[in-house]
Amino acid sequence: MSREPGYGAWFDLNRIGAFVQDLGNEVVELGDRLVDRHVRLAVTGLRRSGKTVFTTALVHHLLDGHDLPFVAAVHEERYQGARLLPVAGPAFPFERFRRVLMDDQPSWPEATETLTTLKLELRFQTTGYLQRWIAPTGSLIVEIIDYPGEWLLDLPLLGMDYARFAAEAIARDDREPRAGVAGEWRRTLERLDEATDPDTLVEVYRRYLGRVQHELALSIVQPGRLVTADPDPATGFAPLPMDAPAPLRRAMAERFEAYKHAVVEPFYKEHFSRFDRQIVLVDLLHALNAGRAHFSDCQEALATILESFRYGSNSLLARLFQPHIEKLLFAASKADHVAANQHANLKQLLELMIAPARRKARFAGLGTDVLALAALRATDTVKTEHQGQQLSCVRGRSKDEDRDTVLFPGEIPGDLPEDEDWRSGRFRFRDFRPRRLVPGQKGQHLRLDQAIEFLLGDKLT
Amino acid sequence: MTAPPPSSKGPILPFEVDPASGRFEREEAPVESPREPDLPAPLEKPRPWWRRPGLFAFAAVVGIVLIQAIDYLGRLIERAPLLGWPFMVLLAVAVFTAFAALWNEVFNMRRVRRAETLRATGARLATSELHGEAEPFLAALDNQLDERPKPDIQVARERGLSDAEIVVLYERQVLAPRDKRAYRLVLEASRDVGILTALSPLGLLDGVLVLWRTTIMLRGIARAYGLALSPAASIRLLKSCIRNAAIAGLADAVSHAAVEHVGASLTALLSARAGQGAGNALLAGRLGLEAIRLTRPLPFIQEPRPRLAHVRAAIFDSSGKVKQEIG
Repeated sequence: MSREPGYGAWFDLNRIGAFVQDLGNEVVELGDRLVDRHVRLAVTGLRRSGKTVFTTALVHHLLDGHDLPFVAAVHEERYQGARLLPVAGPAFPFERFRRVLMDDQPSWPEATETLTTLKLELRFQTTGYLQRWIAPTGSLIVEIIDYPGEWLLDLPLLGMDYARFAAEAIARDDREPRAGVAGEWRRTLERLDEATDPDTLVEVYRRYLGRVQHELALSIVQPGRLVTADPDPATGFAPLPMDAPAPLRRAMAERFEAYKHAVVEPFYKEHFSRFDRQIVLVDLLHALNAGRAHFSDCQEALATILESFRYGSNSLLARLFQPHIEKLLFAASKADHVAANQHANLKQLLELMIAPARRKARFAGLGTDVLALAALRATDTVKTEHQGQQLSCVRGRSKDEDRDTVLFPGEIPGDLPEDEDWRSGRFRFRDFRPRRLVPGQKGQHLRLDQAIEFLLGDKLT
Repeated sequence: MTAPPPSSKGPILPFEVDPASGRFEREEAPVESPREPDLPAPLEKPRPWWRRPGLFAFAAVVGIVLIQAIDYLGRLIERAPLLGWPFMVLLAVAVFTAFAALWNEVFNMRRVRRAETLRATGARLATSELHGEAEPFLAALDNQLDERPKPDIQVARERGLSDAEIVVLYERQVLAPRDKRAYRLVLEASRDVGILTALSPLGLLDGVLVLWRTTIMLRGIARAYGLALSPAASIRLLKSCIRNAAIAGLADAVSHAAVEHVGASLTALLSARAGQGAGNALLAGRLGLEAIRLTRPLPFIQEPRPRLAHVRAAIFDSSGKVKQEIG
């Protein structure tokens, strides 16, 4: 109608229509910016606590949203799927990990050596009248980083000076079981003189830390970069006692400060200071297996790490400039390695273990929760009769011996273990090989959906 | 297979079984029929029949009336068979119908009682971290609601989720759509009551209309949760709804629910009739919500509980009039 010549161009209905449409698009964009659509999820955990497997399983299930009945958006059929977005730095090798797990002979991903990033865009239908009008399809960008667990323990260094670090480290090294493997390191310390080369010292300390990590399987290993695949002794440092030759101590203190500024600070600033949600994975079974020293070491390490994060609720302004972690989930990972009836105890034990940190988080006004989860379920719970009792056992493929087994791995104590528990040999939790990851198959995880709902559920509306 | 030394005391030490030995079984739901699950005894035991004087008196009166009617009809047949026989047939039909209705009531009451027991179990399971009780319970619920077992819930079992988690999943997957249906019934009834009582010219008619529409609503809600209520059962439900609503009303007297009524009485200033309609609509709404609470097989665990404020917002427009269309 308005195409007829003679009418003024500004009266062109098509143009008005296009203008209105543009305006609509603007409003949609503005709405997207206003409503918070970007989440940085911190997947935290000590070495071998299952961060990589958790991230892989998370992405695998979120891509098509299958088998997530506890995620409200999936249950309400509002979830439309997800896709991986390109990232600036090294990307999380999701496809490679998934291929390894989907192989006929699946195996767990190898230990993470570098930092990788993952960006996932989730699409869903929005709820609420206003939102449905502004943006009927919502999208949420989830950013996750994967990194070696050792690096986490560098974060507390930021709040220390060299004197405090050295004092704490030396006190720790003097205690059992560390003292047992510290022979060479202590002898080196006793022979210190002005001519000692700092690099040699760091090299000896590195060997000692390696033994602490691999033989004793302890978590607190500082500096963390010293024990990764190809460390650079020039960037490392070692704790020296107060009576060490002053120039040597000064040189070491300089290295300490340099390490803090060149390695830890960028890591913290670029990644850790900007999280808004956090999941802390704890491999309790490993800690129980390894004995009392390891258990308390793990407890101490967790407490130290959690002090490096900022907690509190995000106001609108804080969201833009100074995000805090506003939701914190503690998860006992590898829960499938014990029978289902032990999950309640597993959860309770974790609750006891992280009680101080949780209290602090609650005080800061955070939502916290505790779960026993398995990102990839490797076992079934079966029943067997033993000495006249029906007992729940786990059946799976043993990792070390590579054979099928039915195992009663002992019961998880509902309280922090007593002396007697450590001596009686009642814990023998075993590692299992992963089961083949089958696309679309149900029942391949344990409470992964509840974790997703807790961490992201409120953003998927 | 490594067998640990038998320990008489303390925790059971770890041991291993050879999978080839077949000395284990998968944890499965009990194989026996899920129809009659092991349920705890009902909360309050009904009194035995011999301790019910009212029942005795009622039975005696019915018996005497029946005997006298038969006696009278017998003599009537002797005197005037053409009049007596049709009466006899009529009486037989009446007695038969009465017995059928009574039987139906008894049967229905038993179903309602069973549902009450189930609800008590559900409330307990909703916080249970143990395993194994949810399956028979949910099988009984499936039976009541005429639902097929949901695959997600079977998978949840296989995963080894706790009873509480499985019950939450059931609430989400099975009850949430039914909640919507029941809530919709409440809205509709509330709106109808509001409009009807505003239109009706007589106070007495108001009462009858409210009672009639509310009873239909109660039966609809009960049906949404798998209970087909007989008249007596719906009166019983109405009774407990009114009782609970009255208690809730007392408790609400100082809280926000009172504000809801003030909102309604603002309307009353504008129009006495419309105001009355609004008050009655809210009353019906409150009874409906109470009925949902009483007939829903599980307490509201994670699903949002419907509230009177929502009903009010849904059925009144901004000027305080009852909306013609809801949704």
